[in-house]
Amino acid sequence: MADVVLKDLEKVFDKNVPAVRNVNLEIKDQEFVVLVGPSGCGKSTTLRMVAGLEEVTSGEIHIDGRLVNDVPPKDRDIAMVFQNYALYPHMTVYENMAFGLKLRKYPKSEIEERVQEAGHILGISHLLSRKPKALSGGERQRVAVGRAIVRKPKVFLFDEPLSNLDAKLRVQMRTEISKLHNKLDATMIYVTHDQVEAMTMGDRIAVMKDGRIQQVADPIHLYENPANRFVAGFIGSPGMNFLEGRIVSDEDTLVFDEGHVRISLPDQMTEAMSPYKDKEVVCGIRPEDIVSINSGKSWENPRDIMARVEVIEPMGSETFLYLTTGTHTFIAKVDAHVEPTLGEEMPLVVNVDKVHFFAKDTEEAII
Amino acid sequence: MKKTYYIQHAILITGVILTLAPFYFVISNSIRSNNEIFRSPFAFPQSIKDVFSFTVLKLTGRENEISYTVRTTDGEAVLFETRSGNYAEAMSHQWHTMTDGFVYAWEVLRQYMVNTLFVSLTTALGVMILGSVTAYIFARYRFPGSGILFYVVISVMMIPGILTLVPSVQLVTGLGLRNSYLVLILPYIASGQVFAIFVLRSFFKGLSEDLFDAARIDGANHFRLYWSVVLPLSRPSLAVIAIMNILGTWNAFMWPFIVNSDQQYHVIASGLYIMSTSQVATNYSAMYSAYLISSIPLLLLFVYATKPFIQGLSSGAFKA
Repeated sequence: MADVVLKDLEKVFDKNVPAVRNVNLEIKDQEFVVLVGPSGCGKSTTLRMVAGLEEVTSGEIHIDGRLVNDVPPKDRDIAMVFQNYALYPHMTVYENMAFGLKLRKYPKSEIEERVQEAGHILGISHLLSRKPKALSGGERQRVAVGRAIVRKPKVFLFDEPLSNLDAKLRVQMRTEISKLHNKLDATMIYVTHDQVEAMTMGDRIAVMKDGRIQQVADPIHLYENPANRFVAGFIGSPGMNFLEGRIVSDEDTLVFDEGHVRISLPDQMTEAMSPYKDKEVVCGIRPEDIVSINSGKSWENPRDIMARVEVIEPMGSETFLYLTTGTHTFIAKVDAHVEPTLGEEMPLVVNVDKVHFFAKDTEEAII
Repeated sequence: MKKTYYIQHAILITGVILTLAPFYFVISNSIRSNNEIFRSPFAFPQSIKDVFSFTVLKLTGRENEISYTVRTTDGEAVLFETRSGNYAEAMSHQWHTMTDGFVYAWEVLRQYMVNTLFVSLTTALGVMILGSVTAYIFARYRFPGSGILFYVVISVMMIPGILTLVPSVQLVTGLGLRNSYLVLILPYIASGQVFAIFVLRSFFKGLSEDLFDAARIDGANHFRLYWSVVLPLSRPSLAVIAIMNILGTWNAFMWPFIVNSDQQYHVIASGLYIMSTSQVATNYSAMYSAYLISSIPLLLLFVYATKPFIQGLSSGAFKA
């Protein structure tokens, strides 16, 4: 097993299209790191550079302390699982998994042993003589994972491996890959555009946008302390609400003034927010930090606001309310037993201690 | 509604009859004696009728009623002798009537068939190997001018073969290749490759990029990729190319007729032509047998290769 270090990594495609810019990332031995971001953010390109499938424009990639920029993929001791499985259609499951070992001239008995072992781990022992076209999507993805684990590589790379599966299977495979990580104690780099996958699987998550890493942190830290507006909006479902407004002073407290909604800030925020007095800022509130007034939640600093209900989405365990202040629309996650009526002006409570503020121009987090 | 249904069937049945009539004509005449053919070219083979009626006589215990005419020669004179009674002898006579033409034709054609088989298989193999390697390079390697070079190669398809006939003959004469197998095989491979490159390159380009990436990570070099991944997946396309080439080689007449004058190197098409201009020409039974023999391998090829052929032709069109 090994650590992976990316140093000032850049990738510029033909016609000067920059795909990856100045990526620095240290992945520790046995760590599960998820690269997440919207499509075109450079996450797959970064992964492909680690795999050696894409040339590095500048910067360095180290695997297990060795500079691998000019090392071909087969000599990097990595294995990769692709979104569309990329199984060899003309080979059986067994041959698919054995192909890499065969090319590396492993003795037959060892190939047999490793393939059987991988088949056992993934529960596909009974499928070894079948061809890929006779398998379901989930089974194919297991074979693709099996092809990776028989090689016992230093680093596993996953390129959106669950995107082609249906929702239920995706959840199931997600936990299986997490279990596999615990069992194999391997370094894994996992690329996805699905923030739920990122949150549930990763030891650490690197959020990318426009070829740059926006923030690297563990899931909870990322959720609670997003570095900028993009990360705040990308992580969490439903996404964070953003209200644009100004910071004004009302006697000796600072108040966020959206126009219709006014939220007075608690004292501990005063120091950080005072440079933004009379300036435009963006206020970020997670849906679960807005509840109906009689929810019984005891927050230290609750703030009352009023908003009109536009859409009601009952989820069973909770209800999403799409609300409008008049200038902004936002979502609140309220208890399922709250039954508002459409168009109603509803009193709500905001947990102001959990509110985030972002500078309007740079979009960097202030608090 | 019902009416159009009948009309459709009538049209289709007419089509089937028109298509099958030549087959019937060739097959029936190949098993008839020359006498019979001269008497009425379209009649049903007498030998089959006789086999049937003799068998009925034998089964109903009237073997002594069997009677047939044998044509013999006594020096210059042609004699017709009527024989009767013996079922086994009668059947053996019918068998000879039916197969005489084939035995004769096979004597003449055997060498041509072997030549054609050898030339067409070697050509198909050569075209598949060279064409797939070239197509692989065009599809997977990027080098300066690769695009232009590809279109130059493809544009060769637009030049009619007859236009290059004279210079080609001069070329092979200059190379001293006349009267050999090579004078057929080499030009066939050269010209067959173009179509192969065209078909295979687009097929290779259509293969999933991830498949190549996966193989590279698995440790496959370009040869391995080509041999263990790309070629097995191209079987339908390769089948199309093999069939098209074998068909072309089998039917080629002009080129082999011009470049090979030595009997030893004749192929089936030029051989049939030579047969039809020799004294055999009046032996219609043998000629029809020869036509039938020469088309059997192609019929077999189509029967066994239709499925991969259709698959290969439509693989580019219907791939998601």
